[in-house]
Amino acid sequence: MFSTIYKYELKHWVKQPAIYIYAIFFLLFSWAAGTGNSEPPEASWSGRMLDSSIELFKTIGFFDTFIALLLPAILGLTIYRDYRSNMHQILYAYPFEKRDYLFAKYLSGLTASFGVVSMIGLGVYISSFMSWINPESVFGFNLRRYGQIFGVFVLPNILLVGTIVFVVVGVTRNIYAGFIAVIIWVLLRESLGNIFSPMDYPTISAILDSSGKNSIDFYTNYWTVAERNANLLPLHGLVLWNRVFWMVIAAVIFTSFYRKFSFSQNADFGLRLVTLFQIFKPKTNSLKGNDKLSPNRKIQKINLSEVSFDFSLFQQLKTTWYLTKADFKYIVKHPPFVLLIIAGFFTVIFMVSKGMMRWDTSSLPLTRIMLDLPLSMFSAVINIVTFLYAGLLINRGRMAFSNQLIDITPTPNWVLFFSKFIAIILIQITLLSLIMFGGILTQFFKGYYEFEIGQYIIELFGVNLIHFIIWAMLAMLIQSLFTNPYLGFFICLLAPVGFIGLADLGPKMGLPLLESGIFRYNQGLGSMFGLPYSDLDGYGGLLSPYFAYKFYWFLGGSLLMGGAMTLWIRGLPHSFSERLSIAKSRFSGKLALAFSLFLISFLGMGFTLYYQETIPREYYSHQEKMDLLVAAEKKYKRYQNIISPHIVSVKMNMDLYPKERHFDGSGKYILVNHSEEIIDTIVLNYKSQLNQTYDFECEYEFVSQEEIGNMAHFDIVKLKEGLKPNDTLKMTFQMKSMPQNWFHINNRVKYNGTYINDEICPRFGYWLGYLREEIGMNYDIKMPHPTDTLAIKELELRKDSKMIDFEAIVSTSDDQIAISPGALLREWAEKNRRYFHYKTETKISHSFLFMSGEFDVAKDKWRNIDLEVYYRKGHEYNVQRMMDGMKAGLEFCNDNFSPYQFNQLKIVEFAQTGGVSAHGFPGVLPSGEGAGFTADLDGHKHEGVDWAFGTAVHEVAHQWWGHQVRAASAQGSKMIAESMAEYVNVCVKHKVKGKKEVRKYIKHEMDHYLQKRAREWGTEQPLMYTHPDQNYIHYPKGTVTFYALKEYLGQEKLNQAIGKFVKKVAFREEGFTTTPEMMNYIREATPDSLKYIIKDWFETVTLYDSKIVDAKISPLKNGQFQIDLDFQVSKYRSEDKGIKVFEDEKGASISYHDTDKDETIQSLPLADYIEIGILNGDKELYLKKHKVTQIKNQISLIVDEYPTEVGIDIFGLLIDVKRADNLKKF
Amino acid sequence: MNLTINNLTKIYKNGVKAVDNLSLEIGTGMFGLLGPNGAGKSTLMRTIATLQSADTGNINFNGINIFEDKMSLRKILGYLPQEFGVYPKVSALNLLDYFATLKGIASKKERQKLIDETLEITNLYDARKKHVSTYSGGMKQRFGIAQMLLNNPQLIIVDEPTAGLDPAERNRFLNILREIGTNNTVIFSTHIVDDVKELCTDMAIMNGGKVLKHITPTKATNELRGQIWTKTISRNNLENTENQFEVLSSSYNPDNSINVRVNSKMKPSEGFSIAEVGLEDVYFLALRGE
Repeated sequence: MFSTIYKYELKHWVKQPAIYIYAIFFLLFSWAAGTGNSEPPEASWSGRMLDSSIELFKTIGFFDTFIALLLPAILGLTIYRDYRSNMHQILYAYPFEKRDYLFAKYLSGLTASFGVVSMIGLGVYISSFMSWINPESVFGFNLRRYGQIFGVFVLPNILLVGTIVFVVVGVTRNIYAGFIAVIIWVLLRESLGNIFSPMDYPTISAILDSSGKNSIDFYTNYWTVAERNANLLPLHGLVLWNRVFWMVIAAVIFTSFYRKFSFSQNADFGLRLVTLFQIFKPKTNSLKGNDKLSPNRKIQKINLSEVSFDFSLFQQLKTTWYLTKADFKYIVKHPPFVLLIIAGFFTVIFMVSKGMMRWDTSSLPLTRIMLDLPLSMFSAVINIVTFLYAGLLINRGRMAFSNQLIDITPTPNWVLFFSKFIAIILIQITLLSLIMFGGILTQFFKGYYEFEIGQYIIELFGVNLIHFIIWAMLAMLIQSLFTNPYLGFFICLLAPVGFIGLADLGPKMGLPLLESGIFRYNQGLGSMFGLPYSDLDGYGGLLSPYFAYKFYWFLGGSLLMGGAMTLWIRGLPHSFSERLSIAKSRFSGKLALAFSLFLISFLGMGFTLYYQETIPREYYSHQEKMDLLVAAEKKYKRYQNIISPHIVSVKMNMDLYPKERHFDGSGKYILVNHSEEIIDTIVLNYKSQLNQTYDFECEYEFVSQEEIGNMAHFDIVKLKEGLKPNDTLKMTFQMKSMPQNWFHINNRVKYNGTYINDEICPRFGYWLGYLREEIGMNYDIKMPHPTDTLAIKELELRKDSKMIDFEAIVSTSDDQIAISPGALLREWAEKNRRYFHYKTETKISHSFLFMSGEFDVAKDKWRNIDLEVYYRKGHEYNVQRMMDGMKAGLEFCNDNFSPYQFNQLKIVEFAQTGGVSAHGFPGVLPSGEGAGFTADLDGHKHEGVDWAFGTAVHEVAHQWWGHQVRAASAQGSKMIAESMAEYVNVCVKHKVKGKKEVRKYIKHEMDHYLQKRAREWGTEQPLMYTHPDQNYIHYPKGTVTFYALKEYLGQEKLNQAIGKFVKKVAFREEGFTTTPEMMNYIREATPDSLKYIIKDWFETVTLYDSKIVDAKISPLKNGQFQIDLDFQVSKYRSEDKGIKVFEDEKGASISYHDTDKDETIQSLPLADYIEIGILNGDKELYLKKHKVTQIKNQISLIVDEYPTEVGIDIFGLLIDVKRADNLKKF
Repeated sequence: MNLTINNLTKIYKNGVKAVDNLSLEIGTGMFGLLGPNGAGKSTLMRTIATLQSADTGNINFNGINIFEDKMSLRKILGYLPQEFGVYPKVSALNLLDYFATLKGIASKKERQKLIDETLEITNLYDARKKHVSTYSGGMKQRFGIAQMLLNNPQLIIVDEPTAGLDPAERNRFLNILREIGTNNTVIFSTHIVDDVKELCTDMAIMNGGKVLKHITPTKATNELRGQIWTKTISRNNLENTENQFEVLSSSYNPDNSINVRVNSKMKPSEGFSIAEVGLEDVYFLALRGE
């Protein structure tokens, strides 16, 4: 019997057109995802294989949620079908066992689902043949790789979610409950992921993530490129447990359903669940027994009272609202929806209660964060619910078989149509309100009482609601078009992805036009959803272009609605062609007129937007920009080493107009020829879109002038009379922000919290690299090696300047304060504007900025230095910590290295719409509002790193490391700037906050480094030779390395060496310093026994692989404890793409054969000091560096107390990918 | 009040001619549309009820061309389809209010009053707060009538309403229809001849999309008076009898003998006796005559 039903069901699916549409869509979208993931062709290929196991896992994993949402339409429908058609009344009387019936249904549904989903594999495979895919980056089909993913992940995941869907639909006999169950499931997964994040609970999160992704990440996070390319997925340990855990859950769910399932006509045990929700409705409304009236009762004469009928427009609008309410109530009372609301609410709470995390510290529960966090994820839920309920409402009459009764009433189509549409909008509003309630509740419980209800309402309903409405418009069309609401739902679901895919693939297939916002439904401004918001700058002038696009797509959506209305099913059309002919006949009169009006407005708006996108400020697609830049690089390459005059003095006049978001500036350069040659050609760059003009105080002519793709100008100027060595040339320049309109808002000047740096001023020399960075091209113009004698003639940051005198008069509106480097000479008011005259006390690096905002100012003093923090009123939480950070940083650097060069130091807040980072300018430290000002550091449970303090210290340290000690333009320059600033930070933290916080920080940094190095597609440089774009080296690795160095050499010794170095090289104006020069000072301070450190930590990439094989504690008679430790140490160099090398340059290597496991462990020769520690809680019972010369080691130690933990390199000073086996807990 | 159907044709995509060049005129009162299953009754009724389109022909009611002005017809139309469902978990009261609004009654008070009246008429008043989805078959049909009456309709179309009702329910149902039919045009399709006999002032017999006969029930039975003969025969003789005579219908007796009814101007043979003419005879004769 089983096979009969199974085959029958399968045949049914094979005949369903919907199945093929699902399959085609999966094929298409996976194909697009596959090609979207592509690598650039040959030359700049990174070495990443596109179809390695881990990459395939990622690409296919992208479809996880789509697959889950497909399952109700197949596995849910398979059981719902019999209820819907009332077949169950007949079927359940048939002589088959429920075992046969249920399993056949279930397995046939699974088979069909898996068939559809397997198209993903095919799509991804086909995508690898596309012309724009570099064939070298593809292995080709491999059954094991695909089999692993589909067999171990995709199929079990279908099984799990499919079981839930099958059971929910089986119990409730309602297919929508199946869909909602999936949404709730996704929300639940999200909440679990929030509570047990992989960072805090790696093991738990690996088990709890039902997709299996976290468990894979657990093992592969630190994989290098070589490992990623070569390895299959790790199917052991947590991955296996994860799979087993969820399969057991699926089995339990299915079995309990199976045991309770009976062939009954009414959903009896389902009802029991449903009645849970009827607590709200005290009396049961179901009718039992017959009606008691006597059948022969006489009928009185039918004499219905006269009523008046009203078919006026006003009444029809009222009817629309009446119907809207009816539909809305129907959905809101629907138990699955109630569950969804509850689940959604908790998801919001879990999401926002942690706040915006940075490292281990959360932000304050600011309104913008309460909104930002859940909106991004919740927007997907709102869309899914919209698509689902659009189908449900449009087909509601038909589903209940009451469509004939409704359709013969004199209510026009548009009333019915709009009532559904408005009901959906009400649902959207309900869901958006959850965010508001969740946010306010969280704020309340966190003791944050500044409820900005207005901001909630503006953001949710003013800014974002329209976004969802426009999607609802599309859903109305799709769901009106398809009579199968599940298919319609699925197509709606893929539509947003499809529009992104189109924009992505368009340029690849030679249609760059498709990149434009006017072709991407409900998008524009490049982003899918939402607007960045700042407490200082608000929406930063983005509202008008945002609403311009939203208006445009609203018009577009209205056209779709028009289409949907003509396709609206009224009565019983029997074929699609009849529907079309009805649509044609409906498309007349007012509808046609309205449609034409909307069409004209839509096209007009489209042209306007396209014009604004492209014409007033010439538009270049991303591809065009890249091509133009490459062409310019080729063309101007010969100027790469041109000698430019140096800027020695900058005087600026800068007028900022915050309300108008506009600036008007002018400047004077004094240039000196510091070379020994006559300079007759000057190469000059400046930014596009600043209306710049310039003039030299001498006779000159242009050799060429070019604007490169709307990014920058590249001019070549010939001086009539060459500039002789040491001669001076004056230059003036003016610049102005571009004229604004509703579409183009100048974003450099903010309403509040402006931060503009020196990049707006002209630069000299060949300087195109930064453009690559700006447009996100890989920065493969690598720095020269520090031994390159030419290189060290130039500064890392500015090749056209060494030191400058700086002076600026900055003006702003009368309610704001303007800031620039230097001491404030004078401040005055004039014509409702405030003027500030700044001049630096000493020469500074060519690094300056202009800031303006409505600030409160905190003032303090350290020794004779004036300290100030400028912050937005309301952001005072961490100002004191910043002040403390400035003092601590100044004290450490001043006492250990050299005196501070200015008389004042300021931290100034800027709007986060201008970035979230902090920077160190001479005497001014601009700091994004999210970078410390709004961190929740006061919370009584806060144990995280105090990074308001830390960031201040780091940026203060740059006054030395960057402004006093200035690295040459060579590899390793960032070690001198960033690693050293971090070193200062760690030392100060150690002193002020104690060992514990530092160790936490170090652990975090190490993890950060190990994860990021795994993503390095190029070559991981040694710390000394780090490239400027290898942030993961000079920040986290630098931090850990210098901290370890301090622990090995002693802080005093190391600081003396560094201090000597600083005094030697500070304020150098030629022969800028390099890492080898710095390492000489450190080497000098290093005893011979530790000299290997310099090689291992700085000159090469060297990793350890140590582990405890065994640790035994035996109590001694005298009350002490003996620990017998058996451990292994191995060391290797990590070379190109993470390949491990165990031989040193001389070919020496050691090895050890572990007879128990029959494996041979290799290592570089060892004479290394490894810290062995024994702890009792936080108490250090034993901590000493032991010299290790062999791989296999045994040691016995005696301590006074019973230990809780033993560790090899217990605090993680050395780099070891597998840290866990270095520790043993008791 | 007058419904005129002219040359109506409807062919489905699968080639079935559901309505075949049909013309019909229907006046005030109960009009019975009699025909076997698949005769095209429902298609015709749904077409009149503005739910379906026709390929050719037109339908007029009181000067309204219903293909061109569906809305005007809908304002005065009451329709009870052969099968209908209701929104689950909604009480009769709320559902009727819903329909009354759809039918254009703006005032809430008037809606309430009218709803109470229709509930009274259909004997549903006591069950008005119960969910309609839990009603028995007869109650649901009466609910169908209640919603139908909400706009005081002038043209009422009822598609096989008595199928599946128990005799008492059927009785009650027909009584209500009769009441409504006195002043309005009621088109009532059925394949149960008795329904028509008890109720209709005019009727048509339909099959294969065509009207086979359009006549009043009384006239129809009068026409056949003296032509219908009956005889009780044994089972084995049935085939023989059918070959010899124009057998309109046959029915078993408890003793397994068979009563046959035969159409003949004269006494067909020995053993036949003259029978009272029933509407069935008209019906079967019309179907035979195709």
